[in-house]
Amino acid sequence: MTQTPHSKKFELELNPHPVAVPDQTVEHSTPPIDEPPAPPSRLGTSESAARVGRQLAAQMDEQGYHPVVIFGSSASGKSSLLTSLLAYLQVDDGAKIQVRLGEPFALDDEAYGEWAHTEATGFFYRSVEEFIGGKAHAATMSPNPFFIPVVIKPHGDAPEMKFAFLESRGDWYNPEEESNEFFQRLREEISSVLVNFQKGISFLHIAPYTQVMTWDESAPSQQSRDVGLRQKADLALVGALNSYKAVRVVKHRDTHLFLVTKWDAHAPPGGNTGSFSAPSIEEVTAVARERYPRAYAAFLNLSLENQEPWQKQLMQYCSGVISGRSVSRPSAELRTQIYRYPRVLWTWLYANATRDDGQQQSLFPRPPPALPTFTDKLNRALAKFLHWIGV
Amino acid sequence: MTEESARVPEQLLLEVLYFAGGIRSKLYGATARPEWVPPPEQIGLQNDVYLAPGQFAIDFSRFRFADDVVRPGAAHWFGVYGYAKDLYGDRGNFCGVGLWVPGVRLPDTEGLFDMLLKLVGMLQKSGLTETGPSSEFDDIAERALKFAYGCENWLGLAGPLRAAEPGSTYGARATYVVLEEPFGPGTGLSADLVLAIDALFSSPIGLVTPRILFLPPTDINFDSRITSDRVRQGVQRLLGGSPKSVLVRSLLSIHSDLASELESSSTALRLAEANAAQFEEDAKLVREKYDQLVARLKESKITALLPPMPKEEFFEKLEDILREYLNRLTAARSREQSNLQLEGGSAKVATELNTIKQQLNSLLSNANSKHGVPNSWSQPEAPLPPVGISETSEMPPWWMLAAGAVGLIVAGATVWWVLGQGA
Repeated sequence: MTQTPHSKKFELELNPHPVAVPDQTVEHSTPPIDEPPAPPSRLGTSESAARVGRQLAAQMDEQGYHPVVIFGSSASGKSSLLTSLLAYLQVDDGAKIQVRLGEPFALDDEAYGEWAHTEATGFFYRSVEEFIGGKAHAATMSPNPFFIPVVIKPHGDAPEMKFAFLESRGDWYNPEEESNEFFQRLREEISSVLVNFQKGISFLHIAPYTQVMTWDESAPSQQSRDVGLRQKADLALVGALNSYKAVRVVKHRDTHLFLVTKWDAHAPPGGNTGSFSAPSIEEVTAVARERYPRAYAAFLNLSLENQEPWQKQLMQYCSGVISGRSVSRPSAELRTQIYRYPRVLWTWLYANATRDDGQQQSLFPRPPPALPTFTDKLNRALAKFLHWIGV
Repeated sequence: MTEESARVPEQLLLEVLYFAGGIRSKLYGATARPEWVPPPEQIGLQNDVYLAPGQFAIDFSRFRFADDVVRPGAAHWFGVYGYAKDLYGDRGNFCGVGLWVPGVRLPDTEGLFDMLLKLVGMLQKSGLTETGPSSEFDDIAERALKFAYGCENWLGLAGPLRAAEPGSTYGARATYVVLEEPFGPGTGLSADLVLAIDALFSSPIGLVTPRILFLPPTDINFDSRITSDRVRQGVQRLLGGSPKSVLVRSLLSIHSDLASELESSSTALRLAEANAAQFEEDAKLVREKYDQLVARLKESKITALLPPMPKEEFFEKLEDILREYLNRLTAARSREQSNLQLEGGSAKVATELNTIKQQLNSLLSNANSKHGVPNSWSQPEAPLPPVGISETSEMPPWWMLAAGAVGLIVAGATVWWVLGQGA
C-alpha cells in the first residue's frame, strides 16, 4: 500500500488559513462545561483488582509471609530503601543472614501473577545488583503495584521468616488537588490486601528530609522548590494514613514506623556531631514535626486499639549517599555507619514478624559485653581503695 | 455523513504525559476522562527504556476498552516520547504526547507522527511549567486535536467489526523494536515503519503484541531487566515479513471478513423479507375471515330486531325505561286517589308492575351474562322468572282495599237512599 503524499502538516505556529474540518469535530472539541471532573479510572476493573488483592492476602497468610507496606510520595526513597535493605544482606559479611527470592503467589489472574513475579525477580536481582554497583533505581513506573516475596534465614536457631515487600508508584499517593476527594484512594490491589489479611502488617511511612537531589550541584537553588514538593509529600502521607484508617479493620497487630529518609541530607555521614548515625530522638522528632507537620500529627493521632509502644515508632534512615541515579561507594568507616540503618530496619521487621507468630525473636545476636579499658580498671581500683580507707 | 467523514473516528483524545513532582497526565478532547479510556499508568515508559536528550520513542499499544463495553475494535494508543527531567532531578524520566484512537480506524501515520513529535518538542522546550503544561501549550494541543480530526489524516476502516476478546485486565509485556533508520525532527519516518504501523492498526485483534515500542537505532539505554527475547532488530523481525506484505494481507483479510459479513447480512435480509411477505399474506387471510364473520353476524335475524348499540347507550336506555315505568306507576296512583275509581286500577297497576319486573329481569340477565353487557338489543330475552302467589307486589295496598270498601259502602248507602226517596 502506497502512502499518499501528506500535503497538509500540522504547524505549531498559527496558520492564517486554518484547515477545514468536518462539522462533527465541533461537538467533540467543545464539550459541555458543566460536567464535573471524574476521578481517574483505575487499572482494569475494580472487581478484578480487588480479587487479586484478596488472593494475595490469602496466599501470604497460607505461606506465612509478613507483608511490609511502604507508603510515600514520588521521589521519597521507597525503592532506594528497599534496594538498600536487600543489598545490605548481600554485602555485609557481619549480617550472617541468608536471603532468597520467594516463590510466586498463585493467583487466578495468571497474567498478573506472572507479571508481578517477573517484576519482583527483576527488582530482587537486577535492581539490587545495580544498587550495589552504584546505580540507584529510577523513578518507579510500573503500571501495577506488586509484592516482592523475600525469605531470610538467620544463622543459628533464629527461625526463617518470609516478607512480602510492596513496590508501588509514588504518584499513586500524591494528592489530587483538582478533584473533590483531594486525597487519592489506595489502589484496589493494596486496599484489598489490607482488608483481607488478618495478621499483623508492618507499615513504613517514608518522609524524605528533602525532595530534591541532595548532592546535586544545583541543590542549594532548589530549596524553594523543595518546600513545595515536601508539602505535597506531607499530604501524600496523610492521604495514605486516611486510607489505612478507612480500610484496615484489624489494626491491633500492625506496626508503623515513621521513617525520615535521606538523613544524609540533614547530617552528612562521618560528621563530628554524630548526628548521622546516632541522633537523639528529640532531633529526629523535631525534623519530622518541622518538615512533615500534617503527616506526623496524623501518625501520632493514629489509633491502633491497644496502643502498645512498639506499634508506632520514629526513626531516621539513609539508603546510601545518592545523587540522581548514582550511589557513592562509602569508605570503610562510613560503611559501618550506613549499614547500621538497614540492620536496624531488618531488626524491627524481624521482631514484628516473629511477634506476630507468637515468639518475638532477635534477628542479630546481641553484641558481647565490651572488654574493660585501662580507665575502667583504674576507676575500679580507685573505688576499692577509697572504700578500704573508709571514704 | 459523507464517505470521507466516515473514515474519522467518532472521538479522539490527546493525552500528554509529563513529570512535575511525579508522573502526571493531561487529557485534551474531554473535560472528564471517558470510561472507555485505559488509565494513564498503562501508557508511557515503564522502567524499561531510558531516553537520552535528543532521543524519541514511538508507542503503539492496543488495549481493551476500560469500561468493558463490547464495541468493535480496541482502544489504541499512538504516542511519541522524549527525554525529560522531573522537578526532583534526573531519575530516568520522560515526557510524551499521544492520541487515543478507539475502534477500527486506520490513521495516516506520517502526518500524525509529525504532529505528535512537534508537540513533544514544544513540551520539552517551553511547554511545561512547575504545575503542568503552559496555557500556550494548551492552545496548541487543542489545535492539534482539531487537526487530527481532519479527514486527510484517516484512511478508512482498519479492522473487522469484532470486539476485543475479554481477558485479564493486566496488560501484556511490551516488545521493543530497534529501528534501522533514525527518526526525529526533520527526518520523518521510513516507509517501512509507516507500513508497519499501518499493519499493526489493521491486524486482527489478539494477533499482535498489545504494546510495541519503536526505538532509535543506537545508544538505547534498556533497563537491565529487559531480556533480549523481547527486543527485535527492525520491523521485519517484528512482523515476520515485509511490512507491505503483512499490511496487504491484513487488508485483504479485512475485506474478506467484511464481504462474508455482508453476504450473511444479505441472506438474513432476504429471509426476513420472505417472512414478512408470508406474514402479510396470513394477515390478509385472517382479515378476510374476520370480515366474513362480522357480515354474517350482521345478517342474522336477532341482530335485525334491534340495532346494535354501545354499552353507554344501553345503560342510558335502561335508565330511560326505568324512569318511564316509575312515572307510569306514580301517575296510576294519583288517578286512583283522586277519583277513587279503583275498578281495574289495581289490576292495571299490578300488570304494569309485573311488566316492569319482567323488563328489569330481562335486562339484568343480559347484563350479567357470560358475554358481559350486551352490545345490542339483539340478545335473546331471558326467561321470565316464576311469579309467586305470595309476592306482595301483586296485592293492592291495604289503604286501597279500605278505600274500596268505604267506597262500596258509600255507593250502597247512596243507592239505598235514592231508592228510599223514590218510595
